[in-house]
Amino acid sequence: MKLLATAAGVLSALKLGKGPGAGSRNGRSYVFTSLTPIRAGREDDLVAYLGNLPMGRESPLARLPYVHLARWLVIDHLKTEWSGAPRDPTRLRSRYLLFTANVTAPEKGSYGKDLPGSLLRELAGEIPGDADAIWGNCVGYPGSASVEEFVAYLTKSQLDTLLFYVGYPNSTVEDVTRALAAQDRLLRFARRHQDEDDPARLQQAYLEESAAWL
Amino acid sequence: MVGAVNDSISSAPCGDVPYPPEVLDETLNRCGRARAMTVLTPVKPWYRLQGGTAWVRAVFLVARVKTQKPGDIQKLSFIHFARWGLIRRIPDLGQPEERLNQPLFMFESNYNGTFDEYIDAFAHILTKGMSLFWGSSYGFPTPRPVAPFKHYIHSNEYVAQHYYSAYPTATTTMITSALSLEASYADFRALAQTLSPEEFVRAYRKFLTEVQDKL
Repeated sequence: MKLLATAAGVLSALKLGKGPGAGSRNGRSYVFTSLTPIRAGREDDLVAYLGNLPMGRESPLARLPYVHLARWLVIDHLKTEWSGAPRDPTRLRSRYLLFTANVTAPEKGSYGKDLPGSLLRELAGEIPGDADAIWGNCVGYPGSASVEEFVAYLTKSQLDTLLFYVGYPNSTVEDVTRALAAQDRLLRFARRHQDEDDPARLQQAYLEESAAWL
Repeated sequence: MVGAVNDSISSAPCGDVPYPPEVLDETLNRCGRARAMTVLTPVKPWYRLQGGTAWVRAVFLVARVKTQKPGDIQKLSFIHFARWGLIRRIPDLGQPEERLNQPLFMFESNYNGTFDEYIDAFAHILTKGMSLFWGSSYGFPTPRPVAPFKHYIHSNEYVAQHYYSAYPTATTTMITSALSLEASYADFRALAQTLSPEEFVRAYRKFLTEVQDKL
């Protein structure tokens, strides 16, 4: 039985290892990582734009409902100032923009099957201004107006993934925020009613309030 | 009971909620309680111990099978998402041609806690795994003692210019606890509707006792 499970795991891993973005899936979760070259002389503008983006709810990424966590990061050179670094380190000729988004697709619909295209189409559709202001600093960027060219550009820049770990598999952002809110409401209910000595009132309050937790 | 969650859990701007002092720092690589780590290290050639991309791929093929079953990685309960990758070629989008003298091993993580706690836990729980994962990289000092390992990671780490979390006030433990509570609400609510008030009080106290470690 154990042998069969291991064999199934190996087959699954081999299957996941094929194609661009290989290994990027874990259940309904997906990690998209891209690396795009920054046009010469545009790095400062890009860094300034990214640094000035609002955080949290105001971040443009908050408009993408299936994105849990994401980052934009500029790689200006490969670091070599450490003990044991190779004698012939790589000197990059361009600077690069890294973009990584961790998403979980809903159970229904084709969003999960169409990843990463569905995520990239959402980027072009929901935050075209920010997408253009960011990737517009990159070599070969076609703009978000032509969605399919935008998708093709970022798909071409996608990096291979060997292993993707998910702390709470198959839970969408909506699942997580709903569960956290319900947990908080139960905690608040327990605190608010800890001195309630009328069983009927406590039961009625619980039944009324808990209806909204599910 | 611990772990109270702000009502505006999914909407609080990062840094705008009363976090504990250790996460008040407004530096980038952070969004509320979530932290980003991005590390790139050069991979040794195939003729050196644990070197070469084929070795790295073999290690991760096994790791991928192993992570499908409960194991050590599940003990790292402070990781939201983590990704390991191998860059053999930089994507060609029309920029001046790049030639990597060494392939690059890439690690990205989204976690909560401090950098020190994170690396300590990795070094002590996944000692063998870390040696296998990073053993292929130049200069890797082994996970223990942990100080050189931390220095190595820091030396090869990059800072995010923009980091986003959809639920910045939540830790991984809070999330997994909250998700595991969902079935309990439905079950207890169904039960509560069938009980007399006195029976309800007894059942309610029992219910709270059962779930208190998840609150």
